[in-house]
Amino acid sequence: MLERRYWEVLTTLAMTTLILLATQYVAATTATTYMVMQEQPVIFRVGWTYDIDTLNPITFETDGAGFIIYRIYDGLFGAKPDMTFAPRLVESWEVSDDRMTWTFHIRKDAKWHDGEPLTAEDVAFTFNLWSEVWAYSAMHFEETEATDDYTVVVHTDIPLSVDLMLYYLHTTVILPKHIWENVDPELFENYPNTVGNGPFKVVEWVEGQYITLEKFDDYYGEKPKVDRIIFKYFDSAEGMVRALKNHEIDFALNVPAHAVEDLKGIEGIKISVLPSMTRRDLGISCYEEGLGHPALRDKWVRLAMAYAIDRQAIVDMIYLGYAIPGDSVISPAFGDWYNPNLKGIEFNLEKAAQILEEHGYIDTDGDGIREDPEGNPLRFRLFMVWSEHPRIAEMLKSWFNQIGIDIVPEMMDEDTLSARIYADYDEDDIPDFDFDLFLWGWTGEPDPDMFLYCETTDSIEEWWSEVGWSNETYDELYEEQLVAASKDERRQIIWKMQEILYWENPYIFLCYLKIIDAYWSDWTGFVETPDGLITYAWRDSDMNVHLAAPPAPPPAPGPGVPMTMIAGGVVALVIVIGVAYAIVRRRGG
Amino acid sequence: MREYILRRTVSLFLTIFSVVTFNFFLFRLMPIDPMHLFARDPRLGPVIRERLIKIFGLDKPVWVQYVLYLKELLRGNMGISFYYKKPVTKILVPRLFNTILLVGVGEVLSIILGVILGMISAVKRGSKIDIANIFFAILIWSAPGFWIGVMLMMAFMGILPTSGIVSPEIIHKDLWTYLWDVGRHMILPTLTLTLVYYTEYTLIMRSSLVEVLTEDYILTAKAKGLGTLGILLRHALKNASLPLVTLTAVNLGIIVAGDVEVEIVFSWPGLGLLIYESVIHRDYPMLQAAFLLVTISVVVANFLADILYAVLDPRVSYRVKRGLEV
Repeated sequence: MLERRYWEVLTTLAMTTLILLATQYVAATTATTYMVMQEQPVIFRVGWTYDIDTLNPITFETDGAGFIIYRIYDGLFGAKPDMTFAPRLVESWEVSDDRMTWTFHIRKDAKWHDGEPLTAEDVAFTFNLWSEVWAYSAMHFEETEATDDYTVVVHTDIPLSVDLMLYYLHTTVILPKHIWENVDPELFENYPNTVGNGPFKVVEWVEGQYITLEKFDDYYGEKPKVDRIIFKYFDSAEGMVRALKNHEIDFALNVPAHAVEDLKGIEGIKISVLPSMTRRDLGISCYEEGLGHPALRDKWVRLAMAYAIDRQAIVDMIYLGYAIPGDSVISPAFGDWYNPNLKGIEFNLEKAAQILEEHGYIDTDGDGIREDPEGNPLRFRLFMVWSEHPRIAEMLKSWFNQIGIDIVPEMMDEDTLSARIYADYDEDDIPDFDFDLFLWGWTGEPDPDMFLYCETTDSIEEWWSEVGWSNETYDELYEEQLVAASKDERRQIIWKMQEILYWENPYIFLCYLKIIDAYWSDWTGFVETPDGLITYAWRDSDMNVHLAAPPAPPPAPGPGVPMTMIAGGVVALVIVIGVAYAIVRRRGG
Repeated sequence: MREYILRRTVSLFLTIFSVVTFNFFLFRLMPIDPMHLFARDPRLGPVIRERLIKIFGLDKPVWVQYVLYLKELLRGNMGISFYYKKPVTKILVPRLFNTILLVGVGEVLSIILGVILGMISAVKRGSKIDIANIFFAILIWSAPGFWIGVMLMMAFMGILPTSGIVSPEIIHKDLWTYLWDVGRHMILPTLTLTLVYYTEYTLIMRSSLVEVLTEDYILTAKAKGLGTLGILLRHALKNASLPLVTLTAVNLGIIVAGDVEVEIVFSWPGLGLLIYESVIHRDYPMLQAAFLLVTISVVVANFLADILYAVLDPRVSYRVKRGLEV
């Protein structure tokens, strides 16, 4: 009796498992879209380690999302590889003499991905929406109006420098009014719509896995050379490199330096090494009312630390030479904006010790660590977030110890670090900068404005400043560059700002990474931008990518040897179980 | 028996409720205030930041958030992901299916393989086959799962895909090419899982079967003239399977939670990988929902194991009746 029940239970369990699995298959398949195409489309597969949080152009936070959004939405202007901006949705434009009224004539052939024409109404709607919710690129925009179907007039609150205006217009993606005007303003932060006007449209996005873009046939400009482009997400750069070697992807974006030697030996894989805008820095807590070590508010301590860091050694040992020693808030990849004349701070431990000595930092208790005039030892907490940081910290510690400064490294993740920086324990709406030093970094934008803004006094209250540094001359210069009359004048001011940062050291800029991309050589047509081959801000960087030779016919997918083996195994298993069951039945009666 | 099931059911619900509560407060005790998660990105202006904080209810006191959480949970609403800014269930459910598919198949295969090898080993105990089998099992058991995965990956480089669940570039013409694609992607991770888990089943099956095979009633059965297979299937296997049921129940939790190691190595978009990513993103609602699913499935699996135990071994429920065991 019990015998039979036992078998019943087992078979029921087995059946349930089978049914579960079967329903799972059906569920999975119905979730996928099937498309029947006459010809095999040309598909370019990019592997990357950037994740996409949301494709909502208002609330996205990750670089991966920005990357995609810049491809599905066009702006009025777009960045070119030489750090200038070219018209995109604009046919012609004028600016008033006071540079506060800007008139743009919109192209008449631009369309939305759903077929609706793009008009000045969309542009005006977007700009007004942006200035309502957006703090950065529309910061200086006032009322925008559409004077006719294809003319839009933008008013700014200051006579904006022309380059800066074009950069803001590059950043501001235009949204379709006919879709977004119906969205409840309380909810549009989460609205998932992706109808854009760019050269690519979204076919399928599976969170945490991949996103497929398809070329938009009605795009007004030159169309992409590939039919589809797939960005495949990898949790680890190692997994991405393996997938490249296995030809599961055609292009690996941002390969780690230690993988280069491995890839070099493979025939058919090309490696591109380019300077980038990515900066690695040592942030220093400078805020007067902050919770950082008080000695760090003294620029002489910061300067002494700047003298005590051998940047070239960090480049060589940590980044295996795939970096450039740092000196400015922006990298040389920023072209003319980068000040090449920053000279004077060289690696010199004696000089560093001498500066500390001269400014009253003396080791009074003989423990090898200097004390400030109030008697606090110069022992700083160093917060680290990335895997290479502990090794950098080791190097820093050995140099700093020689000049009488000690550091206590602590590993954390990026969110914890940002929570420490922006902690607001006294609830006065100003961050408390609860750290002494941190190792972190920034990636690039086609204009230095954002990098420069993050050191202004205003940015402290806006929760953008990471270090709480404040300097009146710098603030004035920042305001001046906003309204500079010419590019040359603006460059002069920005060079001066870099000079101030160089000697004041709210950050010590360690280095600028070189960006390493690797791809199979059957692809060609890449454009070298200031930030690599296929880049976030340069919308055109993947437009010209194409196969070097016409595509070979794809291998017919279908069951091969392994499948028959699996099927055979399953059949054998069923037979074995069946026989065993029969035996038990027979014996048990 | 009925009383036994009733007791077990009550404790099941109590456990789930305390887990829900614990989960909720656990994430509120983490060193990071979720409000700061929206502070890092300069592209996100203060207006958006405030609206997001309001949408997620982060401006309310914790206990109000708790009551709201319970209320919404009963309606099946697990909240909105901080990271994806979409309902948690939309992301979670497909990931859950992927995990059940991968780990479920791996688990079933490893049970079958483990039981068969364990039986062979027990029957032929002391022989060369037995020693080789145990040696191999212990060897694999001590190797980390991700290492086995990477080794398999290297061995099959260029033959089988090593990442993801489908090749996004293949435009599937029908269901069969889709299944074929998924199947190809499944082979390596499933093989890894089977190797990782079968060893445990083999070793446990062998030791408990060896114990049973030395019992007197087995000798009696032999004396009656029953063949080896008959003794195994009719007399030994059932008594030897109790520890196996426990192990399977414990591992059922893994089926739902996914195997983080293997999922990361093969970029398999399952629940394990999602939990890992959500920890990095500090996506509390997502983590809360995932933890809840995992605990519920572990608790339910244990509940089922208890019941199955009583079916397999009537002494269990009798003992409860006599008040010997709760």
